[in-house]
Amino acid sequence: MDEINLIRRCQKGDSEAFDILFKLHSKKALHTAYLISGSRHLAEEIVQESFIQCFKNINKLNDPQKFRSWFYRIIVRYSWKAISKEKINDIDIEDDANICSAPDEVFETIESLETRKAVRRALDKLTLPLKTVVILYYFNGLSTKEISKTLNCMQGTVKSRLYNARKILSKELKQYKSLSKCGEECKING
Amino acid sequence: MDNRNQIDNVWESVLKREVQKIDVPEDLLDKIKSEMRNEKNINRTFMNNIRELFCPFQLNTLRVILTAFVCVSFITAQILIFSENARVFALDSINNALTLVYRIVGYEDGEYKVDKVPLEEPEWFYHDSVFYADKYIEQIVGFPICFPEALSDDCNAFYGRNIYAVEDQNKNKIYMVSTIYSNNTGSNIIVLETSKDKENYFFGNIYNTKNYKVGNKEVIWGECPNLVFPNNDPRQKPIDLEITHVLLWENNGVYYRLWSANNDISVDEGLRLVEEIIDNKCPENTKFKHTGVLYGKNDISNDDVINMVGHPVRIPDELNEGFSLEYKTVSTITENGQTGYEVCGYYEQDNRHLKITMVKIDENYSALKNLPSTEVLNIGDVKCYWYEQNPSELEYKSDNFFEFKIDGVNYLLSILDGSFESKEEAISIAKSILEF
Repeated sequence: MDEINLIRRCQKGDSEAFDILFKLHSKKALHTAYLISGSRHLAEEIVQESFIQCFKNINKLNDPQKFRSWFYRIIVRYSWKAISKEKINDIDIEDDANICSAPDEVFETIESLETRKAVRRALDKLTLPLKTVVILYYFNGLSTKEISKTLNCMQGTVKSRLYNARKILSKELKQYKSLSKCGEECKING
Repeated sequence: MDNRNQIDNVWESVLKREVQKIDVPEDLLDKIKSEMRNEKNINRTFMNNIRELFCPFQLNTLRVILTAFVCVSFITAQILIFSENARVFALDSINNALTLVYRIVGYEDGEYKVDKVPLEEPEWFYHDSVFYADKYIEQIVGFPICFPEALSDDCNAFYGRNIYAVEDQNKNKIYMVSTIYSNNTGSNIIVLETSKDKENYFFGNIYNTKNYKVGNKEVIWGECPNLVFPNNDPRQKPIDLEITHVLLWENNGVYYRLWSANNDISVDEGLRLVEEIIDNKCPENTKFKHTGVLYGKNDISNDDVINMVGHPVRIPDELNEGFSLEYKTVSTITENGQTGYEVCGYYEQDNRHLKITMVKIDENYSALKNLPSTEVLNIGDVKCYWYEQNPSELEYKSDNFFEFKIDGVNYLLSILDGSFESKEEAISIAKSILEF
């Protein structure tokens, strides 16, 4: 069944269609919420609330083709709301510790670890709207037009945010290029 | 590969790696469904679809029964017998015609009798899911409304009142008014209803009654049977029978009924609540306090709102940029010990929701004018304020607002689920209010 029909079925209150829609989108939604909030626990709460809102209001969605923008708008709003309540940082220290204790196969090379850390630092440096654009664009694969609908801002704003995010990451990568200390420690401890 | 593509690839691959070990918990969908069921149950009650939950709203029971008797001549029907204890049903052989639904049609020797009867179309049953002030309701229904602000066990009345009506043979409306009390968690929801009509609303579908006394008032305790259908479809054979207990009494010529929407109430608990309600003095000045929201929905005219609040308000049905009025509310607010009114218009456009908050307030008051990034502009002679939050301050609410004052009333415009797309959009909307 294509997604348009699925959404139409949801709009008629078809509970089986809800289940399918959940299966289709829950993983991506959870990952998105995690990337924005930096907390697995919060991400689960965000996804739970977002799907409840989605199921409650899906009958108000006039154009099922706009579901993706509409749904991610809910996810983003709930994520921002959760962050503002919890005031948590993007990635906590515990996560960094996990990097070092993770098995080798998680990282293909030392470079990938460095890259990963550089990306994390870059993500940390982004403001919430900037970070959200990065996640929606690179992780969720939304177009700049879809992101502008999702975030209710101009397409040009999305593009400029992406440009800024690229610049910040580029700078971070240069800075971390020569660093391999943590990676070496992981190897030794592992 | 150029530098930009490299950066893009890094972003993409690292973000994907970040989440590779995060799986959706197996019970997440169940949790969501459970939350929704809870919410739906409460909403159902609040939105007065109580009829779906319980029997009391088989209002015109006599009519149903009468129809059932008439139909006996035409339909070979086998009566279902319910045992109160076993709560099982016997199979019947009635065909599942679209126009026929299962209903309880009687009670004999401790057993409920269920029959298939023609579906009663709901046009005779009018209900309004909006919320009114008591003094307004009294004018409509023609009898006094006196409900306590709260019941014990932290049960506060939610919203205002809900009005139901049926038409008698002469097309006169017979009214019933209800209010719903709930504790904060929604785990205890009590429904209290009142009407001058005894049979249609309250006494027509009560079985196994017992009489009690509260002071000098006679209180009837009885059970109210409710059929449970597969998929809530009354055309299908019922799979169970639920019994809800209700309490009925008369006070000052008005009849009352009380029941619990989520826990079957015990006789002791019920009688205690009845005593509270009978003892309630219902002073005039408490009538609006319990809810805040006095009027709702767009079937309350602007003139009604203006009469209520005593000052002009501009609530067009349509605004520029395609926003249409969904409903309006009037709430009481207290400012420096003075009670005033807050009128809100709720509009919708392509799944975006606009709220206009209107308050008659001090001439110099403005919610936005002293904020750091507020811009002052004029539409004609009217001074307006446009405020846009710094993106880093974004929260789960509108990140821009528009405000102006006309006729001494302050208008604050905001998009509830996002923000105005531009200042120009807000100005355009404001113009349609100013020109109204």
